[in-house]
Amino acid sequence: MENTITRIAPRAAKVLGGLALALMAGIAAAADDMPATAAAPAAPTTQAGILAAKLAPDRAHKMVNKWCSACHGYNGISIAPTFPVLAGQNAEYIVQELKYFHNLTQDDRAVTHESMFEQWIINITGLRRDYRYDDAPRNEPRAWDFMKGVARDLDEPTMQALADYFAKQPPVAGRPADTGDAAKGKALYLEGDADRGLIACQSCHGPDGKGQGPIPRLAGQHADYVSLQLKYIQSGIRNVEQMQALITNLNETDFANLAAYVQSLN
Amino acid sequence: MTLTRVARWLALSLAAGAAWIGLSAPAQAIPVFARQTGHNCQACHISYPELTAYGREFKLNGYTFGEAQNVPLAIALMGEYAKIGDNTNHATGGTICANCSEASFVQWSLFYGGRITENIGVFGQASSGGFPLDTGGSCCNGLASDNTEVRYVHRFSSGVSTLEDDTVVGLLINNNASMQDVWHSAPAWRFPWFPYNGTNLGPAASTFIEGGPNGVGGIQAHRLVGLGGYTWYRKNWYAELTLYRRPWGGPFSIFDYGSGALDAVSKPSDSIVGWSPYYRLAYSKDWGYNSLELGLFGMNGKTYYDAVVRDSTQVQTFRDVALDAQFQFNRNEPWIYSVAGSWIHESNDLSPLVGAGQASQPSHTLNEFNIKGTAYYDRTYGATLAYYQINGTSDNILYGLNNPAGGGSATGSPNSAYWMLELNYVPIQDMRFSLNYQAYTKINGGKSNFDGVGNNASGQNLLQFAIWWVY
Repeated sequence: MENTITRIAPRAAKVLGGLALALMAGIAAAADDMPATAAAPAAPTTQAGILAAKLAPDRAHKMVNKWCSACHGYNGISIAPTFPVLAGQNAEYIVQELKYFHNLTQDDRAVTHESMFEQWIINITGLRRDYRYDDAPRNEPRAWDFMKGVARDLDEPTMQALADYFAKQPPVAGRPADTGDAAKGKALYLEGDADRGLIACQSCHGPDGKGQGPIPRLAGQHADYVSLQLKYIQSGIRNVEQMQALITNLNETDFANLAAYVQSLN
Repeated sequence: MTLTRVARWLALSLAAGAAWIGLSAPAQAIPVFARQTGHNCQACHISYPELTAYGREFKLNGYTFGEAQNVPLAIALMGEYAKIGDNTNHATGGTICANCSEASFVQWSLFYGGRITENIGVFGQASSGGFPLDTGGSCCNGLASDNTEVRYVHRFSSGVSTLEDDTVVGLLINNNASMQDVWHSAPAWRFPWFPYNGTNLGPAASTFIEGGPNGVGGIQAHRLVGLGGYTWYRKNWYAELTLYRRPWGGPFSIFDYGSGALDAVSKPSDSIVGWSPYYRLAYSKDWGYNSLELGLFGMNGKTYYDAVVRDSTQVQTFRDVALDAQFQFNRNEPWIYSVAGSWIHESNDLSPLVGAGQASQPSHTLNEFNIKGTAYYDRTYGATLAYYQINGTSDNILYGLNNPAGGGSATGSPNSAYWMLELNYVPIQDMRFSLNYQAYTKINGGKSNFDGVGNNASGQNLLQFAIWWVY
């Protein structure tokens, strides 16, 4: 019973809050409440949902112009490997990740465990801390530093419009990496390593590294970004269960080699 | 209860609070901007206030990323403990550093503002507790405006379905020359990044833009109003012109709130003559995890020596121009490195001082060089090493030849040099512990008995321990 309530209550609050916002400001924010189907978003049925879908491309456009581009570039080609290249990335993957970042925030908000001193400050000032970095795994800084905030106030149609925008951008050209042996990476990527129980990366990400649907495009991605993500996924800091089991036997050299290879792909 | 005891109590409370938070629940921070964006501090800062490439974008876009907050407030508390090499003024027998050898509550600040609309943002800071220092106010006088700025920004981009590289154009109003800068080589946000309050008989000279005699950075910071415009072109070129003048009243009084009575004597900024232009040009290049900036900035200023008389015979002129550079490597897995420095050249005309018997000759040049290097490991452990050097025209009167009060110069020279080493520990992102050591190798042209009345440069060395906490 209690379990049901705790599950329904925030959702109801979200629906009500979303509708109120849509009515008051004329800006739809209720799209969150649509059934979450990964592939094709269901056609909106509520007034607010329809409005949200209509406004999404414009909101996405403004968002790219102002915020996304600060790190990922207008054309989705980032400069610093801190930030992944998004140009030509699969839209479905982008939406999936944006939802993940968005929910990081939501989960986070549901948790309160301030110390007594913090409670005291909160009582005096009325200011609550929304975000808690140190509850996050220490070594996955990027999602927590940047994206949980960016995705915090996104609704689903806007996520979709953002994803469509970046998916449409011309992909970045392949380029050689500073570290790692791309030839060794290529062998591992295309053939795997039966002795170590490693299956070929291409079996999911495709022979050309373009991925599909929720499986990300890797071709042209910053090598250092790929290398770090492999490390995060292997150690469970970034939670990708399907993949974690498959890469248990990779080592740091393999990471660098694979990363060098995928960065070299067009 | 004396003020000293109040200060000690506050410092102790701060330390206790710090320990409590540090040990109980690792917490996360954040003032106005972090609440607004949902980012962690480290998205924008290597260590407060040093900006990352993304932090620079945030500032140049007028603090408008994210969602406006209902309660756009944050507070910061600062406490410290200072030791000086030799606390005896050998000229007078008195003490040099009144704040030394005891814990002191240095300052608390209130931050406000952030995003107001899609195009307008505010960086607001008001501080109290020993601030402003130059009024010599007792501890805990009322809040006074600290660095405060309002920006309006507009972004140009071509194309609708495909966006292209852009230009940001902004207008700003602020109250401290160079606080608008996004690099850490200009005076307002230069290292060290704590309002250390240990005092010593340090260098007698500093340039106008840093707050030298009637300078804008020190005496007049937060007591002037600047109106400016800038452009940030394709994330490569930055150009800015801002004109500073004495504050108006009315709505502009927020920029000099609490900084003294509205009269020419107690309010030195009233001595500014007309408009003082501050200009800035910078080239910035990012590649990989690296960011490089090369630039120049400068300011031309005129002030009345006698702010009451205010006639043309009382005008002093300053012309400051500086070259600067900054480099950052921000991979953060686990290391971050940064280097920043500038070289400021000043030529001035202090004719009214000659007439008043406070300088030997009207014209002086002054060169100030500073450089710092910082390394942070795992966002938690940091070290910064900095070097400062001042060279300029000698002036027996201006720089206090054998000044019987101590702290002058035995030779009339302003030439000084000192080092600073700081170690930082950042257990949680809203709290920083700092241990800062300042070592003077030369003050006002000398090392041993530099002021001709018995004080040594090394006696002015300071060791300071500080806690900085923001909520």
